Amino acid sequence: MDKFKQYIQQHKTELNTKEPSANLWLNIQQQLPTKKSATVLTIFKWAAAACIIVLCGFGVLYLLNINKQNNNVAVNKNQQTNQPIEIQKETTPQENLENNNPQIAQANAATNSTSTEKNKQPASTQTQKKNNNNNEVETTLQSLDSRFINIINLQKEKISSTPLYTESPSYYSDFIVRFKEMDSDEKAIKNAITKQGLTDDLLSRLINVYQQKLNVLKDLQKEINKTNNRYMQNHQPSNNTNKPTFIHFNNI
Amino acid sequence: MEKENNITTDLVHNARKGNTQAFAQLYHQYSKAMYNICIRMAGNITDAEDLLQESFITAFNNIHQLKEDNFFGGWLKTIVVNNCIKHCKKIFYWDDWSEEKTEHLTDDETEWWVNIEMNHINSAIKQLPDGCREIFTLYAVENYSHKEVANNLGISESTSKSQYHRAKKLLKEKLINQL
Repeated sequence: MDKFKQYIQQHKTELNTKEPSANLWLNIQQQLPTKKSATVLTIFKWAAAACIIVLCGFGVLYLLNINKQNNNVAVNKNQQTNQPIEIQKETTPQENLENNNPQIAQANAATNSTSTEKNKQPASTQTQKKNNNNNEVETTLQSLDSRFINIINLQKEKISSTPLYTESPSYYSDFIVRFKEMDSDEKAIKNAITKQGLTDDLLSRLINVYQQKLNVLKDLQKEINKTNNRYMQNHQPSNNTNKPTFIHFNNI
Repeated sequence: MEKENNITTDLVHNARKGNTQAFAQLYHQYSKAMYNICIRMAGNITDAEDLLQESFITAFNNIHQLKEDNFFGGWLKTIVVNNCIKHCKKIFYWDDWSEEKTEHLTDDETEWWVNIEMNHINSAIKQLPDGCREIFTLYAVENYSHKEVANNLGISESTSKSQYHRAKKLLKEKLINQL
């Protein structure tokens, strides 16, 4: 190495004599990456982390909710398959009758078991059809018939025992006409059953006729009650011991 | 020395986090040495201060690129010298000297500089003409080889050698005349 260079290198620090002006640092300081920006960056990082956590939370809740819904659907399905009788009860139009008449409700309780049988019956009747076992069809029809007729007779008795305060039986002839039409429908369906066997369609038509009969009787009872109430409102009860005698339905 | 290195490492570590205090301390630790490089290279205070400011801003803004905290001093010096070279290349032009002239300037001398004070040598270096001053600074003070000087300034190695010998001759004339 050059001797002069060696000498300079040995005394290098002695060459650094000058110092920069004080303002220079101020100029540099203004253009530095400040702590503020670092702080902002840190805040931003934390905010991003918080957002991710919140989104994950929502995701987990969403998944849990979906699982819950699936479980509920599964439970409902199980309930539906396990309890078909209860659902049928709710949808049966006879419920109105039961609510109004406890006697009918009791009688219906007996028929409910047959109604489930009715639903199950199509499968059994088909086999019967195949076997051409007319005796079994007749017995089934008779048992069904007798139970519905019992209910209808209970309703008829109730109407017969209700006095008619104002109107004569002819006033309610419309109900009687409708009821008799259903009688003829019932006979026609029964004839078809003896000829074709107890098919699903005929069974549902027969039950429908019974239900309509009950509805007509129920409507008749309502109408009688309504007219009787109207009468009672217009005629105050008196002290007269001779009570008037009222007409009753004799032949429904 | 080790303690000093640890302090510097801590300062660099804090400066990476954007600690203004750490930046200030690093500046005060290195500004004097870097400023004197700039003065020797630029030849005037105004350009030297501009170069120093630019170099520190570059270093502090890119401090995350520094691989090892304890290399900060060397890394900063490289930035300063590179900025100075860039500045010089814009302004100065170096004539290619022939090999003959270089051979003519071979060492013949006795150690004439031994009895001269360093502050006189320092002021004489600063008074060297543009061009050969930069080459003298890079070669003799910053300990670059002629090859490195040539590569950095975009000149031939012989030009670097001849400019160095020219600088040395001028210094000798000036300093011996002062005695």
